[in-house]
Amino acid sequence: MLAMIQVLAIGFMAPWLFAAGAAATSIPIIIHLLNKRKFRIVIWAAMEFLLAAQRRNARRLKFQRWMLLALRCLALLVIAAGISQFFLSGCGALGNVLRGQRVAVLVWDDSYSMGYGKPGAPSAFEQSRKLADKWLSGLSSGDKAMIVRASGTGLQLGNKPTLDHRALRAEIAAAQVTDSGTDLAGAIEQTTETFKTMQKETSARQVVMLTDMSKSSVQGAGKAEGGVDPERLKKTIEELKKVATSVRVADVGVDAQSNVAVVDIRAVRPAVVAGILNEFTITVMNGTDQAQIDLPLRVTLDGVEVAQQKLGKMEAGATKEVVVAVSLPTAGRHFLEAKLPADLLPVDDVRRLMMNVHKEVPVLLVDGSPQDNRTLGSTTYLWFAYGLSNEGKSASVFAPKVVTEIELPTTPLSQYRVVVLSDTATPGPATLEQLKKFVEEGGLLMVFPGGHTNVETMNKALGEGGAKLLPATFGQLVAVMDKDLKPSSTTFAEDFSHPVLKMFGDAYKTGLKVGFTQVQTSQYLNLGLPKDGSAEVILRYAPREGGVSDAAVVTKVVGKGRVVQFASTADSRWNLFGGKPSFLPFIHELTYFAMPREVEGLTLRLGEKINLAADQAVAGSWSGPRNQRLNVSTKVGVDGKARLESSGALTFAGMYGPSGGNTGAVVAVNADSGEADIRHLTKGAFAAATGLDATEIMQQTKELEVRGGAEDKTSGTPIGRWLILVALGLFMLETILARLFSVYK
Amino acid sequence: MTTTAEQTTDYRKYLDPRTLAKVQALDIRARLIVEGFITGMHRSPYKGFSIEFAQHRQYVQGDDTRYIDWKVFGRTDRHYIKQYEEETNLQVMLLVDASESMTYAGAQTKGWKPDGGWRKFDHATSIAASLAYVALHQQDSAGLAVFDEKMRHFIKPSNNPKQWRTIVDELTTVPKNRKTRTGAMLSEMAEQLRHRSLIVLISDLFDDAEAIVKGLQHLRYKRHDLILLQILDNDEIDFPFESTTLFKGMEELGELVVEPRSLRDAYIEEMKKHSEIIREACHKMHVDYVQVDTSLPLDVTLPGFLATRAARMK
Repeated sequence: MLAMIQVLAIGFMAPWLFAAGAAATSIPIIIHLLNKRKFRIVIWAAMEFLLAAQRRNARRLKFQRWMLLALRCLALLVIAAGISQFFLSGCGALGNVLRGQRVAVLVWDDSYSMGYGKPGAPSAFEQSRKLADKWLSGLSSGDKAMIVRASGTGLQLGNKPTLDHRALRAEIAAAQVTDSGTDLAGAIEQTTETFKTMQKETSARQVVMLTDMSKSSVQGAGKAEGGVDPERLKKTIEELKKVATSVRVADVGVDAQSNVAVVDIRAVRPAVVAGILNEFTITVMNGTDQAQIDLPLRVTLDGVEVAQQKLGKMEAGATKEVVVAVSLPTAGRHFLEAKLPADLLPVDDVRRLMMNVHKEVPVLLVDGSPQDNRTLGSTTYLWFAYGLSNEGKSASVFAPKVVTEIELPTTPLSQYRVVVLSDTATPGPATLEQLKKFVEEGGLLMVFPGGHTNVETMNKALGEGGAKLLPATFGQLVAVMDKDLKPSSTTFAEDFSHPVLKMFGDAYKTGLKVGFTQVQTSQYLNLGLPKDGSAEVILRYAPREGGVSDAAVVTKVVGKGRVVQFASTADSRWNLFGGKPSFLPFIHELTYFAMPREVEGLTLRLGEKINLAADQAVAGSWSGPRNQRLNVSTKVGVDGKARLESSGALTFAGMYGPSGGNTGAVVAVNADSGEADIRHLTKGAFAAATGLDATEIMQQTKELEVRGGAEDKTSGTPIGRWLILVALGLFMLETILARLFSVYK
Repeated sequence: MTTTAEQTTDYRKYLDPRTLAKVQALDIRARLIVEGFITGMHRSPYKGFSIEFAQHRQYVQGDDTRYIDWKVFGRTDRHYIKQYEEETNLQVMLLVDASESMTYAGAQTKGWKPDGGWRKFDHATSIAASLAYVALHQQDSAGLAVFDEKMRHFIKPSNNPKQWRTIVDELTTVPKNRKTRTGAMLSEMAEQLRHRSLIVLISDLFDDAEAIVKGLQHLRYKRHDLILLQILDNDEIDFPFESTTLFKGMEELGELVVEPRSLRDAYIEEMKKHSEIIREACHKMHVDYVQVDTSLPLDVTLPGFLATRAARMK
């Protein structure tokens, strides 16, 4: 039925051709009529026997004659329809006039997994290059073609469908596999958009996807960055199907594809400081079908090995995180590399982290009730907490500085990573603006109330009605009383579920007295949490009567930064937390948690552009891996600060830096970790993940050659070949019947 | 000296219609047929058992004991039989169909034929002349009747030596394009012949089979012996036409455009059905029926004639 509809559809698609086909069917009738007129004449003696024979067989002969005539007409109609499909594809502009414009898009996966190939054998990308060339050869000169690369690097061979097949062929020949992950969804979205704009002017819109059908190309890659969103992919394919006349996948992958990769490397703390042991988390993925035992992982700092670790047992498809402590001797730019032994896909066996190592983390303490000795004000405990290292054995990572709130407006906040307002009055508009900018650009603001806190004006200035910095609304002062209504105190709730409290929770479980749950608080401001869920509660007080557990510490993200709001004071006027041993680690953990990571722009993802502070390097010509050249220039940003920006995106993994000079590498780019799991999917699994029909997935090379070549000349269906076969069958039937009816000898 | 096989091959070429067609004169044609046939037989047809004694010969097994000459046996103690010059009163009547259908000359075999082709009528007249020649040389009377829808010529049987020339002259007459009424003509002949005769009907029998059978019955009723020679062209037997053909019927039977291959089997079946009716009737009436293909040598007709004559003489 479908085939018949398709045959009929040809008529609507190419009315001229259909008319020609219909005319062709009249040929047997014309021949039949001509035969009736063209005959030899015999003067015949035994006429009565001939007439008798004719009379007796008239009905049979008539039936046979009409049957053969009908068969001939049908066979011609079918063969005309069949041939037309090949004809139309092969006659370029004429074909377009007859059947309308056809557009063909090749979605070409050039992600780095396509570089996989067994020793001595061509890679999947090289195979796909041949198939891409064949695909192009299979199109007629009148077909518009476009190649969309599915690596998410932004590289496209032609931005829109073109008739210049020669140019496309040259670009196919010059194309290289990227270090990027697969972005089928992006490529399909682009294809869909292209088809939508051409829907009215085209009769057929075909898509062929060339991919290695790796698991990461259609499924999420867990924690690794750049992973595919399966739902988005399905949705885009669904949209594509609405506008495309055919969608097919050509699989160039192999069943034994396997890969191990370093998929992530990052500092545990948001700031890396010189002179202390900094911890780095390294994530490794086993993208093979079998468990890996004791893979050796090497870590180098500026090219010098600083750690080596065996990874133990890793199950197939599993990821493993290891934490490596590295001492960074000096402040300044350093790069850390984590390396696995090279496998058949070496691009992701190494991962780099280019970072600025700080001498310290500057913290500004704004004291609203300073004493003569600044260290004895409301920020005293904080000053001690930030001034001492967590272990107390070495100098602190943090460098606290105390200022009064009068000095605050003149203090350049951009020099600090953390600003703490302790028992301050409501800031003026200028200060408020400064604070807002500080937070939005990535700073951490902590707000402690106190006797100077005017709840009403503070809420108005910093709350929802003003700068929208406070996570919660300061409420009424809660003075804790006992049953006899005498002043009393409360403690923190025994809820250690928040990551900041993890270390206290672990200690609490072991029965260790860390002095956290014994912190006495006599007064605090009730924190009104917003209903939109934007505020995150870190710590609560023990439940009051009626089971209500008030928030003690809340936080929320504002712009690139974060604000932490306390319910009670930083000094000992409302609570005794500052004097407890748990105060210092709590403040450190809270700061590490809440302090946003600095966006340095030194470690980039593929496809990103260089965008650095101007003091990081020099402008000019930069070089990168695979002899890539970049032009980096200085531009002034909206904040009035000069920045270095590259003209183009970074398309290969490796180190980038100014050409010549002794600056060395400045920027590190890693292969997309989302591509690491290159295990080959079955046809069924790929179909299920994409929502495509499994019959439209071609896996064997032979099948690809046949269907990718000849069939692409059709209007998106294999009907042409079948029509020819049906026509031949009809001709054979006609011959057999004619012999049976003694029409032929 | 040639061998028998060589002689056989040699004489048969004179019986081949392709050879005979080159001979325009019917009398010479008839003689060729008879002489050719006789040469092949190696036995004189002019020797028989007539009243006039001819010679003695030694008895051999199978000879009729009635003809043993006992006087010679008494003298020589050996068996001899007497041979006589034939002298009979057998009356042979040749009925030749001269209707339009007899003018058909195979459309498919024109290649070897002279202008106008070898018509069924040519074949029929050759046979008739040959038979007349044989009959008259055996001292029989021979007559001729040429008919279509009517009796056109009638020559009374006679054993006058000039009779054969008369018959041949009559047979040379070109037939007219008329319809046939064979059955009716047979009945008419039955009424016309007074003496018991050996009637040889030479026709394509393209007439109503029932009427023909009725006519034959009438003749048999009158105690005539009958030999039926149905003359058919090979085209009429095999119907070998290929391409679309307009068949224009002779004897005003209309015309028909057909795809011959599709109708071949049905036509042949119709022909056979017609022939079978006649053949069966002939069989019941002890009438010799021979279907003659004009593409084959003519000698097939003579043995049948001689055998029937011999049976009549017993």
